[in-house]
Amino acid sequence: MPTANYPKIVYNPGGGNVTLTFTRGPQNFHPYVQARVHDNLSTSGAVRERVVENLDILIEFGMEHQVVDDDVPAWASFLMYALAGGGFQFYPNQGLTDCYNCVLEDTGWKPKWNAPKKYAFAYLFRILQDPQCPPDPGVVLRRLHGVTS
Amino acid sequence: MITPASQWSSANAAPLKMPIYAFAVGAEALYTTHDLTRFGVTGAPAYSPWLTIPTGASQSIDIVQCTSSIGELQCEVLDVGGAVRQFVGATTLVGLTATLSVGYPGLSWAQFVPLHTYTVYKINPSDGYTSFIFVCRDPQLLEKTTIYLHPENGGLLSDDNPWYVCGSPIDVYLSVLLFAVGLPASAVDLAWLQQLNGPAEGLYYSARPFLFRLTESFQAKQFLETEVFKPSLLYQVVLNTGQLSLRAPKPPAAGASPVFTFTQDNMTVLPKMDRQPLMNEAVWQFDSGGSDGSSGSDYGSYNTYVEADSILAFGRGDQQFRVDSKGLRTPCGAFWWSQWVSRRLFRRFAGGASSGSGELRGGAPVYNIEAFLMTLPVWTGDYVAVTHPRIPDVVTGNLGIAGRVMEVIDREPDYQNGKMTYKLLDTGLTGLAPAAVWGSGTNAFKFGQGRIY
Repeated sequence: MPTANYPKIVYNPGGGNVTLTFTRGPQNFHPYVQARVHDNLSTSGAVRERVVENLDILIEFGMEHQVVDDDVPAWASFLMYALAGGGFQFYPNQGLTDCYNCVLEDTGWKPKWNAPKKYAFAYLFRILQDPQCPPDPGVVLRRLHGVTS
Repeated sequence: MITPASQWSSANAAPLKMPIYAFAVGAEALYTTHDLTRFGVTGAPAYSPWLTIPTGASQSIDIVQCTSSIGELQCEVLDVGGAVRQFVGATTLVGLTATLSVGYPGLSWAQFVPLHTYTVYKINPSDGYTSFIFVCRDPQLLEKTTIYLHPENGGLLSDDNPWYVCGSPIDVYLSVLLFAVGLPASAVDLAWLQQLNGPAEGLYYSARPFLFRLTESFQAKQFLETEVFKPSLLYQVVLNTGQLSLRAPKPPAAGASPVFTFTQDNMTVLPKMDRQPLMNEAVWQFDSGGSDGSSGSDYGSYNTYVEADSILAFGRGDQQFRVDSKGLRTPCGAFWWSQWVSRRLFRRFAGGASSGSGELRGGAPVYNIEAFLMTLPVWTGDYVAVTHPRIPDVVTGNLGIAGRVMEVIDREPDYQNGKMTYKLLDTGLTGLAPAAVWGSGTNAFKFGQGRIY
């Protein structure tokens, strides 16, 4: 039976690994492919050559109810590190060992007021194309839901 | 043409492809555009996947002045963690050989094919200092050397210490490159040059028209282009391996065999067309300083050739071909040489009124072709065929051309956007028979079946 655990992030700001555990689930979590391609269509229209630079996998999700005196401080520390270009490991499921080396694709961190002491944030991660990169976004979704196959 | 292994060729010809570029700086560093391990490339040395896809370096020929541009390749490498900054600061890289290669996922490292083998010219940080740009130039840069020492005795070139260089244009070319500039034999396409100089091609084997008496310093590239290439209608190309080679003003004796066919299925736009200026007059001056070059610098002989049929049909061309040669000598055969080269020139550029060039009805057509990335093995100086139902046949007036043989005189890769651009010159070779051969072996006698040989 798959175990649904929240994701976690591990990063090293310089003094050793820091683990940022999601205390509540992400909303609208969707990994997707962003293809960097160049298409050449022949004058006959019969042949298309597609030159692929890469099929990048990005993960987009929202954290709608982050609490000022609960998880916001930890996220703020992480964001100051990641916005400066620091890489981190993203575990879609903290109960599994699968992780991906990521960088933050966002260039800002702008909270949106939701309720007293609660703010919403949106995040966009880019999975780096190294040997740990999953073959497709479906693997990320399965790991999020505890499916190991 | 680049002739790689069949697996590379298959991957390159596939309609869906992911080219992986690798930039090696000597034996010091290897940067790639992709993680080789992730994409199944085996056998690679240590590398860093920090290279951005380069534009590529172009090669362009002035087909009448016989000059070639010096290609420049720029490779941008991301400075991850300051590693490249530290590497550039700690190692002397300028002057090293740099190679840009390309392969495809699943191939071994040994199957990667070199595209450009250049020399590192300078390394600059990019704007914002997030990466370093390696600027490399092709080996013709080495020919920009000024020669001021006699290669045989090491003394200064002077009237008392002249360097005599004589022979066919290939002999003079090799003498300058190997003896004066000091390039190793591996830097030139020796096998092909020996074939050009040999009896099988029927080109320069019986010709030794040059006798230079060099008494002052000269720049090697300028000397070769002005004094050797233009009087012979040769032009220089740089191969993908970095070797310097020459292309002759006529196809090989075996005929102009196209190495590739451009069709409506691999061209992306309808080609733009232009025409070379008509040339039907050639003026030659030679015997500089007398028959052996020792009597001053005035020219002793003047020769003018005109292509009468072309002038009758088209009038005088707006460009005159002129050679003022310091090396052509009458005792060495300069008169028949200038006549022979002029005939070659008219055959290519006099409009083909009745010079056997297939009725070009004007200056030689030039086609600007934009094509798929899969055409990248096509190289400058290659013969290719063009077939397209929409290109007007300027020779017959029909719509569509089939198997029209042309010469590649400009090659511009755009690896970043995954396409190639070429300029193709049509000198009316289509349908002409190759040279006829009497006998066999190295002593075979070749003569032309058509007027081009």
